[in-house]
Amino acid sequence: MRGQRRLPLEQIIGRIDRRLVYAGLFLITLAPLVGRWALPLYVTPPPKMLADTINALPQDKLVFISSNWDAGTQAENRPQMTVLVRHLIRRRLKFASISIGAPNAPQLANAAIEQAIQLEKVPWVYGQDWVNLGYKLATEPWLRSFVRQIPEAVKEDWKGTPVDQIPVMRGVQKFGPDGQASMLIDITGSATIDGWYRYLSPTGVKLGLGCTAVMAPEQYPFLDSGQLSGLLTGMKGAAEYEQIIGAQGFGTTAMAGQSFAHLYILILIILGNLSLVLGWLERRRRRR
Amino acid sequence: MWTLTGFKFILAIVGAVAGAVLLLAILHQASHQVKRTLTIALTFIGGLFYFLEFFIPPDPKTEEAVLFGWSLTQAAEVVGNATLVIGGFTFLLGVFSLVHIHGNNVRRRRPGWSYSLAFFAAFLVMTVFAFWKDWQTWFGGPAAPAWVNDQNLAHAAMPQDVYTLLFEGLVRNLDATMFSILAFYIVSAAYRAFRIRSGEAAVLMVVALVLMMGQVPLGMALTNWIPSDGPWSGLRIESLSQYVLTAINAPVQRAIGFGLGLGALAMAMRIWLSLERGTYFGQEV
Repeated sequence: MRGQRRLPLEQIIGRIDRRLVYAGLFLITLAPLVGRWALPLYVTPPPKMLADTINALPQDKLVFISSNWDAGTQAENRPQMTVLVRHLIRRRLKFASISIGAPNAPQLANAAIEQAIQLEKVPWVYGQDWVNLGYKLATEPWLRSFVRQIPEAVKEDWKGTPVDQIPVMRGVQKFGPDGQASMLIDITGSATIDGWYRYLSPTGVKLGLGCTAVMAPEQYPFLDSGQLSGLLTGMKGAAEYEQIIGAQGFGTTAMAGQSFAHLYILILIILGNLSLVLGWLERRRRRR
Repeated sequence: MWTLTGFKFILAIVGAVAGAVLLLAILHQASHQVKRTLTIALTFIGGLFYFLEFFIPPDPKTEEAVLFGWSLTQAAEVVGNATLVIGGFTFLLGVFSLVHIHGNNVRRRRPGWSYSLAFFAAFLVMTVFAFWKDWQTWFGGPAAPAWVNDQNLAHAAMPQDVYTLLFEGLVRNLDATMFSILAFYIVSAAYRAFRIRSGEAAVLMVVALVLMMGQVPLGMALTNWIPSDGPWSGLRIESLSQYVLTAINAPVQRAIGFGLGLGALAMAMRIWLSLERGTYFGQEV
């Protein structure tokens, strides 16, 4: 329109309407999920360490999965849980799921395990090959009791069946080299791993961790010290693990979405800073 | 361990409640000095118990810490259960507080009172169906109808009852939605606020760029042309990202952890010995 002043470039790129920013993120994350795009992924050492540890576990011992994620972090934790269970099934390792971090976790864990069993297309029977021990309030005394004598701390599964009536739990007494449980993998969206470090590490049992991406930087010292036998970092960790065991799943597909979302954020940050520089140049030009 | 049933069980509960009320009544009448001394003494004894239980070397046979023939390890479980019971009261307090606040909102028609009404509806519906579903398992009595507790094995993956609808259909998705909204705020905040105005901000930006792109396949594709083996492999973005995480981040995390540990130890000592002053510690109880 005649007489209306055109907005300078730095204002156009520096003041994009937030609704447009939101819509852009929504579309850019959704497109790869709908199109089922998959991008090649480079496997980093932490997931490889976890896979190697699981590959070396004896088949006559039980693996515990401490499933402590809620719906809020399921985008990252559910693919981790599914791919780890798929690996355990392929290795014929029996496992028990137990939750100490979120009361809703047993139900979500159950759904993820059943999905993994379906994907593997093998008969993996509840009670004989795996069990869901439900939610336990992990106070310090409970943790100590669980580490010392598992049946003292866990008396029934999540549906109330006594553990002595569950075949997979028969004879399972304790962790460690002379125990019947060889490893515990904590899949978590909160700080539940701290309790396992304190009480489980001294038993010599292998500890693995799948956590959200924001939690991972805190865990690298434990990876260095050998207290952690492997680490899955957010959705990327799940995608890398899917690549390691050759079982493409939701993690690989969703990583494409995350890739574009990261790129989108970087472009927006660059645009914001470009606006800053252009504004600064403009002010300098006016001063002259 | 004592196991009471029937009339004795009810009598024990009534006795425990009556005893607790009597104790609270006596404490309420006591002077400030007595209450304070009692609080300090109980705090010290509680701390001392766990201190001894942790530091006394366990018996090699039983793996229990024993003091004068008394197994502190076994006692710790009883004390732990007592702590859980006290924790249970805080749950009741939380429910009371929610009902009180939202009840006032509805009664006085405060702005947004309809949301408070939604709280009561959600609370009531979830409580009723969650208890009804498992009532028979916990307390006996008649079985819940199929629309409340679907036991059909054909529906094992997704039971067709009200509780599953509420949990799987509402709670789970609402929870995930709340968390997902964060992503939109982060994008908006990064765009509007992440301005490089100093050298430190520039360093932060470069590290953020390396880490963000090092986490995703698209970023890795940027440096895919560099051989993954050999002297130049360290310049691939995923290698740079791992270097930042292991060589820079890990030592810093250790330092922070060490500082936090020392701080927590000092704080624990101050609380245990009742040296702490300030809110709740120096006031009348």
